[in-house]
Amino acid sequence: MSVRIGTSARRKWKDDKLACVSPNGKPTESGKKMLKAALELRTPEEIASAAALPLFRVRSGIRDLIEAGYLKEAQGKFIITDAGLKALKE
Amino acid sequence: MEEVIREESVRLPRLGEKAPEFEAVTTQGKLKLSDFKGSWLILFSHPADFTPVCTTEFIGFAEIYDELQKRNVHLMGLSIDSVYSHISWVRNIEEKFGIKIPFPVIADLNKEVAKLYGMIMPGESKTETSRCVFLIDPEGILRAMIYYPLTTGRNMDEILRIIDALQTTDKHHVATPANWRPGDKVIVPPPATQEAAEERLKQGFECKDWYFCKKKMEG
Repeated sequence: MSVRIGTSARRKWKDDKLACVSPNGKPTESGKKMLKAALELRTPEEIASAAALPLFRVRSGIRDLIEAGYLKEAQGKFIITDAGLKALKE
Repeated sequence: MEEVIREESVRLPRLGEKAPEFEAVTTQGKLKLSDFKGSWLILFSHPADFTPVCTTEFIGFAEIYDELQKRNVHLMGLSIDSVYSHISWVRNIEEKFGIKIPFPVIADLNKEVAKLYGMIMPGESKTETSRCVFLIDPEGILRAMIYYPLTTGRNMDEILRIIDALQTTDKHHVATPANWRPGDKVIVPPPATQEAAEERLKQGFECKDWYFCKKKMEG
């Protein structure tokens, strides 16, 4: 099962060239900046400001990080998940 | 046997209409056009990576990048090359010319975005995009288009000038005359009624006639 998920994640990365998630499934530097900015519930604009990243990068990165399970949405805002917290500590 | 050439009937974007949405692989990850909502976007295509005219243009775009940022304008390039080619080329530009390319570049290998925006001119090349520039406003409306042939590098001053002109028009509801530059007088839109035409002449504008009035921009 885990092999299948791993294969799928790698294929996903190969197809989409995600900016915030590395081929090994770990968040990239910009992904980590966004996760740190989302330790509390924040809008994309607030994340962009806190992470010092352009808003277009944040909007795209949010999609990557949600797909990877590191971020979740609540009422139009975003917050880090337990998996995201774990990934930040690694 | 006579070769049958099929013309693809794709409706190309027009000025004043919503720019077609897309999602594409870029050097800064997978981006959607709508990710730029709230900012101006200059979407431009170039024929190919590792070519001399395109290299001078990328350097030119990088040189006006800060000025564009001040105007809330983002840049995004495109060509029918792979993302690995783009990465290699922008690294080469940094290494050989000392210029970092700060904007994303679409790797449009399947020509999806190029076809959507009419960037391929088969009379010039069937496999490369021409030098197209699309200026898209914060609401996603296509506001200006410029097309240059493969042989002719773009004029960055003109691109900045159009942005300044469009932003001035939006902010002050005026038009801009030929060769207008920031600080020059602007055109007051022509009156639509006879009464407005008469009023116009009393308003202190610099008028040659009722239909041709200029004014200084304040602030």
